[in-house]
Amino acid sequence: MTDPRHPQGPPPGGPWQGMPPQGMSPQGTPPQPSQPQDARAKAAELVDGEWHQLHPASPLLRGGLALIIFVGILFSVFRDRLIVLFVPDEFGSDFDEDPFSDFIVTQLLWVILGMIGLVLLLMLLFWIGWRVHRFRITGDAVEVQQGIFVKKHRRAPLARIQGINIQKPWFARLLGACKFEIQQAGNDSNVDLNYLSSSVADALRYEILNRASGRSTADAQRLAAERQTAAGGVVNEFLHPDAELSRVAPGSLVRIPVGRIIASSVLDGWIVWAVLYLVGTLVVTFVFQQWWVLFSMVPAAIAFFAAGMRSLGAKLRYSIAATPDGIRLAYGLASTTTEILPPGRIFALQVKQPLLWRPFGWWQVTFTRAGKTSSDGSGSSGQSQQMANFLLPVGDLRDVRTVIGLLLPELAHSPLVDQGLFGQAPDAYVVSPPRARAFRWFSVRRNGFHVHPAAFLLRHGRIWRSLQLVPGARVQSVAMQQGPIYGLARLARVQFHVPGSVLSPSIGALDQQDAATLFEHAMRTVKVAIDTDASESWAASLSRNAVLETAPAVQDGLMPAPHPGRPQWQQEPPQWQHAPQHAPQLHRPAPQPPQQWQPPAQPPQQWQPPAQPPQQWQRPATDASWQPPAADERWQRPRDEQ
Amino acid sequence: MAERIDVTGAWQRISMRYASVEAVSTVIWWLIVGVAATVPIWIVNDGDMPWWGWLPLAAAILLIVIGVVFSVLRTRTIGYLQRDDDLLVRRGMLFRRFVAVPYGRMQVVDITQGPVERMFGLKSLKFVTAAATSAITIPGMPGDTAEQLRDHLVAVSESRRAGL
Repeated sequence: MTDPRHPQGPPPGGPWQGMPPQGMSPQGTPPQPSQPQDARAKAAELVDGEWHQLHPASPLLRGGLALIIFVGILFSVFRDRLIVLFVPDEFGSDFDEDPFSDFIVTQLLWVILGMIGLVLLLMLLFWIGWRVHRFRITGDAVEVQQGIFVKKHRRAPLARIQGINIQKPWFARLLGACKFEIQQAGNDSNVDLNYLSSSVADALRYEILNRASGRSTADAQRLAAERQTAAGGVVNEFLHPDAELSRVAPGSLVRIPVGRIIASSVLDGWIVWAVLYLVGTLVVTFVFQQWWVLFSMVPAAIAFFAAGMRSLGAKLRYSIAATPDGIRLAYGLASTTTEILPPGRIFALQVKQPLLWRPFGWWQVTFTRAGKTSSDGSGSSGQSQQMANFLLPVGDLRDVRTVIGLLLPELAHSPLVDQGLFGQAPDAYVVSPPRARAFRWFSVRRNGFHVHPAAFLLRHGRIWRSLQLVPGARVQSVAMQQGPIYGLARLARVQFHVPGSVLSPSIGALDQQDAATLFEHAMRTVKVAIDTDASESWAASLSRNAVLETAPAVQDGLMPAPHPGRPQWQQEPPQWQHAPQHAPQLHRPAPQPPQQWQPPAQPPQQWQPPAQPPQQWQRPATDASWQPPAADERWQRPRDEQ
Repeated sequence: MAERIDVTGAWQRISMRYASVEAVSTVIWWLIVGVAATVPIWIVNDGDMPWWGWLPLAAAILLIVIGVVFSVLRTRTIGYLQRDDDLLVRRGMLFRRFVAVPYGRMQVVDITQGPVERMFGLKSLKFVTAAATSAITIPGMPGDTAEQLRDHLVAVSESRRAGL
C-alpha cells in the first residue's frame, strides 16, 4: 500500500512540496525505510527556528477559490456577448436588450481591462500575502507573521498549548493540504498555520508536542521509532485518504458502530423535535386543508437536514486513543479532523444520557477546553468548522469508563462513577436535603456531589441523568451562591468555574451547610491538586506519562468486572449523614470506596492546613489502575543513555 | 428569616462612598427613563398634562428611592478576604455570592475608574481568570488601596503561577 509513484520519497524541495499529497500515515505494513523518516526530517527542518512559508496552495484555498468562481460566473454571464464580439453576424444576435449589459458592451474594452486589472491585482495581493505569511518554531514558542498593510506578529508559548488540530476539509484534501491549528487558551488566540502539506503536518505535530512536553531528545527518538515500527509506510492519500484516522498507532479505544451513531442521533432530542414538527405540519395541512403550509416545510427540512448532517459529520468514524502526548481524537467523513489534546487540557467532563437513549444504555461524554476554535472566515467556502466537544459521541458504560479512565485514571475503576451515573441517596454522594424536593422534584435523592482528590463529581437528574467531573487541578475559581428563595429554604448552589463555554459545572439545591463545607473543602482540594499538577511539561512528570502509557491496557479486556454480584458501593454503609451539625471526624484515607469525602476535622470557619501531608491521600493504595508499567520512562532512560 | 450562608473571617469592607457612586448611577438612570417616558405624553397632549401622565415619573422617583436604599445596603455586603491560598470575594444581600480564587489562577488584575467613581475618588479592581464565568470585581476601593492590593496580588500570583 505504499505509494508506487514515489518509492524513494517525495521529490526534494521545500518541506511543503511533497505533492502529490502523501500522508505521513504509518499503517500495518513493515516500515518503508525512507518516507516516514523523510517526513520526520522535513518536520525537523520546519522546527529549526528559521522562518518558513505555508503550502503554496494556501492563497487558493484561503480565498482564491472564490475569485476563480467569480471570474467563471462573469464569463458565463457574458458568454453570448463575447461570442458575438468575436464571431460577428454569423449566428445572429437575439439576446434581449438590457441596459446594464448594453452599457457593458459599449464600454467593453474598459470593462475587460478593469476586470483583468482587478484580477491581477488580487492575485498579486494574494501572492504577496502568501509570501509574507511566515511561521517559525523555536525552542519555546511558535511565531507567525502575516499581513501586507497591517502587520501581525503572534507568538505563542509552547508551554501553553491547549491542543493541536489537523483539519482536512475535503477540498484541501484534494490538494494535499491541511489546516494546522495550535490551540491556545482564550478567545481568538489560536495560531493557525493554514495551510500545510499533509505529508509533514503529522510529523510536525509530534515535533511541536515533543518540545512542549519537555521530553528529552532520546525519548523523543524512541517514541518516533515506536511509531514507525508499530506502523510505518506511507499511503497514497487519494486511495487511502484517511489512513491517519484509523491506522496510526495507537488504535482507538472505543469502537462505535455506524448504526449506533445514526440511531443515537435520531433518538437524540433534537431530531425528535424535527419529527414532531413534521407531523404537526402535516396535521395542520390535512386537517385544515391549508396546503400552503407544505411550502414552509421546505426551508425547515433543509435546515434540519443540514444541521443533522453536520452533527453526524463530527461523530462518524470517531476514534479516541491515548498517546504519550495526550488524548488523540479523530473524526469526520468527508472533511476530517485529528487533534491531540495534551494532558491537563480538558477542563471538565459531562457524562449524560438523553431520555430516549436509556433503553439502550447509551451515554455521551462531552468536554470543555480552553479557547475557542476560530472559524477563519477566509474562503472556507461553506465548509463548516467541525469541532467536536465530544469525547465520546455515544457509547455504553464500558466506553464511558474507558474514556474517564483516560482522563482521570484514579477514577477508572471507582464505584463513584457508577454511583454517579445510576446511584441514589444512600451512597457516597452528598445529596440535597428532603426539603429541596420543591426544587428537584424527582431527583432530590440523586442531586448531589462527591469530592475525590482527583476530581469533583457532580451528579444531576433522575430522568435526564448526567454526571459532571471537574478535575481539581483545572478549577479556576469556585463560587457559592444563594438567592432569596434558596435563602428561605436554607439551600445554596456551588459553581465551579472552568474555561470554555461548553460546560459550566455547578450543583444547586444543596443544604447550605453542605454547600459551605464543599466550598471550603473545594478550595483546599484545588490547592493540593494545583501543587501536585504537572501537566504543563507533561513528559517531565513520570507518573502522568506512565498513566498515559498504561491507558490502552485499560480497554483491552483487562478492565475487571466492576460488580461481582452486588454493587460494591452498596456493601458499604452510607458514610454521610445529614446530621444537624457536622460531627468532627478524622480525615483518613478510606480503603474502599476510594476517598470518601468526610467533613473536615475542624469547622470550616477556622480553616487550617490539613493535618496530614496531602500526598498521603493522593493515591489510594487499593486503586488498581495505577501501576508503574514496564515501559515507564524511569526504566527506559538509562538504556537510552548508554 | 432563616440564617443565610456565610463565611466568617476578617472581611475587609469596601468604602461606604461606593454607595454614593451606586446611588448617583441609579438616580441618573431612572431620571432618564422617567423623563423619557413622560415627555412623549406631554407632547401628545399638547402641553395639557393629564393626571396619569405623571405616573411614570412618580414610579421612577419611587424606584430611585428604593435604589438608593438598596445601594447603601448592598455596599455594606461587598467585601474581600485574603486567605493563605486564595482570595475570597463576597457581594449581595438577597442574592449572595462568594467567589474564591486561588492566587495562582489570577491571570490579570485590572483597575478601572468610571467618571462617577472618579468624583468620589474610588477605583474598581477586576480579576480575570481563564474562566469567563468567574467575573470577580471589588468595587469601591479608595485609590491608593486599590493599587496596593493589586501590586500585592500580582506579586503573590506571580510566585504561585499555576498554569491553567
